[in-house]
Amino acid sequence: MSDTASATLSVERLSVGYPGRKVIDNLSLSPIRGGALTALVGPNAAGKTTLLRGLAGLNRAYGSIRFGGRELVGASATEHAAHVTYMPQALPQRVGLTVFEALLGALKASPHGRASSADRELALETLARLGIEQLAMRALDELSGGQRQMASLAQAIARRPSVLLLDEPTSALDLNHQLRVMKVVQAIARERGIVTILVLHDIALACRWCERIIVLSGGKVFADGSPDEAVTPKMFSGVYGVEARVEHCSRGYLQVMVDDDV
Amino acid sequence: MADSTHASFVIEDYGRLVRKRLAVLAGLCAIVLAGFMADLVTGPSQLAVADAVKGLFFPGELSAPARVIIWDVRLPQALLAVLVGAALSLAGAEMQTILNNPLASPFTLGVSSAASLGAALAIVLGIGLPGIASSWIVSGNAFVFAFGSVLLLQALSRLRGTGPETLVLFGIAMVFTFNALVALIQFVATQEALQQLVFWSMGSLARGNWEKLAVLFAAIVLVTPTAMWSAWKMTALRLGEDRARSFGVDVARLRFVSLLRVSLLAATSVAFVGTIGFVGLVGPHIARLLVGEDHRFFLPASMAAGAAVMSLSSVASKVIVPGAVMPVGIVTALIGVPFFMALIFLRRERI
Repeated sequence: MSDTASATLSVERLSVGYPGRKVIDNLSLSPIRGGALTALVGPNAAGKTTLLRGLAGLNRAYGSIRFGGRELVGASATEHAAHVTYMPQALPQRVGLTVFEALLGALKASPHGRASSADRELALETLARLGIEQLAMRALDELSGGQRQMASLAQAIARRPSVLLLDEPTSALDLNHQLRVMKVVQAIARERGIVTILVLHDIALACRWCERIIVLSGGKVFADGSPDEAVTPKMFSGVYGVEARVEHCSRGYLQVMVDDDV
Repeated sequence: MADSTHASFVIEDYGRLVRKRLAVLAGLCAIVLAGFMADLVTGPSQLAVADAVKGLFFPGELSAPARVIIWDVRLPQALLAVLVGAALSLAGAEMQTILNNPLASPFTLGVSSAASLGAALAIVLGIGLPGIASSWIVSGNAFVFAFGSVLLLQALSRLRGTGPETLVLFGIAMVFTFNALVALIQFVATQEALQQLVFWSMGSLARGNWEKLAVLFAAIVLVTPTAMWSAWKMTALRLGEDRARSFGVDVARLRFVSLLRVSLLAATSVAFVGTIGFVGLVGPHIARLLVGEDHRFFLPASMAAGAAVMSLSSVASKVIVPGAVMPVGIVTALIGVPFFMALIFLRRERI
């Protein structure tokens, strides 16, 4: 659909961390293609969020992050923001904004050439797409955790990034909303050819919706590939320290059953 | 996709919300104007209300003493109340946003204490900046110290390269440091100097004159447009620092420039009127309760709310004790706190 459809994100010898502590050290990934979902899974403290923050330009990164011929390591915040949008896990608290106002704030935070009326249309279109236009005039503070997570996702999607990084976008959502979010995110990724990386804890959800699963453990890639390749009993014992069966259900999706710790 | 009827409702509802917020802003401005007029017609000298109003528009028709009272005493003081209230409240609003802390204000983060230290040095020890006229030495010192305190805050926070929490802690540490130093100076001060210093610290609009007004007005005119220019960035920052950065806001730069504005506004204000702290904390909160945190409305509403609180406090300072003018700093806190508490409780009931 757009010229970004063919653009891929490649990561080479990437190191990201905090002052005095490298979390991700010398990590390389084969190019991540746009148009499909990529899951980033792994145990707590595996470096999933740090990797996303490095890709988003929020933490100092060393090495190379190339997107569509552009080097993003060392790029300005403005250039980064023009391509990449990161949805943090933490939701804003005690904010005196309505859902619609917050969404306009997300759109107008950095200069762009759109008219205000176009921004309002874009904001509305995004809410409608996520099926939460009835929340538009509600104050963010009045919403439930799940509703706030939907509003937060709307802010990220509305900016129409070429690379969308979502840190646990479904953690506060019920089953119906999880499904709705994964469907919408997948559809948008396909339409716009967006490179979409999601941190997920629910591995069955990752298997169901993502084309590629990257398993991170201790800041290193433990497994990387299609759900069938990456999600194996060996991975569960090696990364999570649990004994688990991985089986195809009657519809062909991978199902995970955790039996015991190893 | 949802039906377009619902869709158009959202845009219409938002338009209505914007109009409502503009109306609230206009209402606040009307209260400022009313407070200003009330400030103008009250005072220890027995001057008829009609005369006071007439003197404003037709100074030639007034007797000479009445003209002096209006033009050299009441008008500068009333204008100073409006400008100081607006400046301190805008400073507080920006601080609360960029430090993500509802308790941030020039008063709570050491700006006023620094100004007091500067004033104490001038009043008690006669230490002033070289080349400053003696009539400006107290204000000059207060300004330099207040301005310097915010710069120090900037420098310290850069040194550690840390976030807003550290800045707030540094600010609080500075309050205690400066207060201790002021106490030290008070300890060695003469009776007379001590009295002068205490009076200065209480905050008074009686120090207003046209020169000071012009300086403060210039500071506000210089600063307000740049603050409004950053309104969307600050709105985005309310959604969280990571999110704002990912939206392309250079948060470190925004914080730096914003603190420069804060230091200019707060330093100029406290240099001229002494420590009137409360308004910088409460003005933004009143604005937030009334118009929310879309900074296009929040910043001007904070200014108007601060100006209204100062004007009404100035009126109260003249009518509480008939025939005497209480220091306005005391009144602002005494009248403002119950009003503020009431607003918070009313708000809670509504939710």
